[in-house]
Amino acid sequence: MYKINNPVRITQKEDDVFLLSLPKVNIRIEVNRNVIDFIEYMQLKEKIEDDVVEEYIVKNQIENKSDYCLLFNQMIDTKVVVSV
Amino acid sequence: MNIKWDITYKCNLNCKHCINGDYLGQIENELCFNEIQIILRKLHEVKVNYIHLLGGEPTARADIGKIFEEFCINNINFGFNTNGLKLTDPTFRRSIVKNINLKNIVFSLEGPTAEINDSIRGKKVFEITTNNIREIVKLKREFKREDLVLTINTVVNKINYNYIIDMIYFAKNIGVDEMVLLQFIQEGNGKELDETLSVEQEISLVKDIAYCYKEVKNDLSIRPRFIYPLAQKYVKEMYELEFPSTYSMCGAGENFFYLNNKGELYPCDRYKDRINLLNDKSKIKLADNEFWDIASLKGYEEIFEKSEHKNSYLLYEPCNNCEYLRIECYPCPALMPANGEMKVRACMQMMEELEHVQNK
Repeated sequence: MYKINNPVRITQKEDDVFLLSLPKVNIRIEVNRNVIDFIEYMQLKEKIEDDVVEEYIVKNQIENKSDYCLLFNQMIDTKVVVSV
Repeated sequence: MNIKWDITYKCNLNCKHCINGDYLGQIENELCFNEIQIILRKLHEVKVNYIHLLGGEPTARADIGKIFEEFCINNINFGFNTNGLKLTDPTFRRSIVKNINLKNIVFSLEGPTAEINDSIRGKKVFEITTNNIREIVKLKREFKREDLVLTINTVVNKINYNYIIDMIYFAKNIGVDEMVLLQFIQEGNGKELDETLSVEQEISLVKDIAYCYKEVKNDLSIRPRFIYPLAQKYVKEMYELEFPSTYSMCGAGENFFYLNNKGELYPCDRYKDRINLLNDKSKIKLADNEFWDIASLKGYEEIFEKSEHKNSYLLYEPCNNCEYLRIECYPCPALMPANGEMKVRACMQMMEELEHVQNK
């Protein structure tokens, strides 16, 4: 199980560019809308299970599962999400 | 990450323009030493780099020596603002200058003479403060504390406006490292005072500082924070002179936080009122809660969202047309009016003059 490493700060820089900041782990990075949507989805969940990617892509009818698996792994590596 | 901490609202002065004048003397439920120990341990755990103590007068706390030692125990660098009156005891002076985690002492002084300074800060203050600054400068040299920055803060206003250049030379000659020129803000004790400089006075002062800067810059760092970074370009193009950096970054709620004398954590002191909407202040007391849990509460993200959002400064003049915006200059999001419109008049004037010269 995982959780988002709060606090998360998000703001819009351009039409599809968002500034994402996680001050706790000193991350400040520009990302697109898809990443923000995925993070906001996880933020609303009380518990983030291991199959969150599967759950998210089914719910949102997303085809590129491998991209989201990669994204989720990157989030673990960079401590955007941490295991609990 | 940096923290600004109003460690007490006790003060031995009551200066005419004190921005915290409304809070002075409100010391009920102020943090006790044990709570300060707990908070410092927590700030160490979240890897805070630097804490700056203000107030009130930090040295008015009877336990301030013990508090300074706690910074050493937790290995957190710190600095403090002071009127300098309590730095008369040689033993206390030596102990603080020897504290290797102390990186900055900021002395408040409003003019280069007793007449000017004491008309704002009170009788006999100038003599005691300047004597103690001299003693601290000597100790800094004796202990070879090159890493300890000694600063004089001056709030630029109509009373001392004609003495700012003298003040800069005074700061250089007394041996401090840095001179900070702050904007007068009509709040606290100053809310009824009409001491704000006119745009013409601000720009005239920018020009005067530019002329003296070349003479003092090797000995004294100047931070003219009463004006925005556009002043650098203005001085360079109008007078072919150098102007000290006025870099103004925000970072509130992200890499900067504010603590008050009760240990309540806020994204910024200028944003306290927004967070005051929380019904239960026990949730924001750092001694009883985890730092990042407080920083995750609603409202703490607002400054970041405002200062970084693509549309934030669209209605700010002339910021929306300024090359320094978000590079060196983040106009304070807390001052953003509800309709989003703002005119930074000194910058408008400077930009107009620059355009006039370029069009010639």
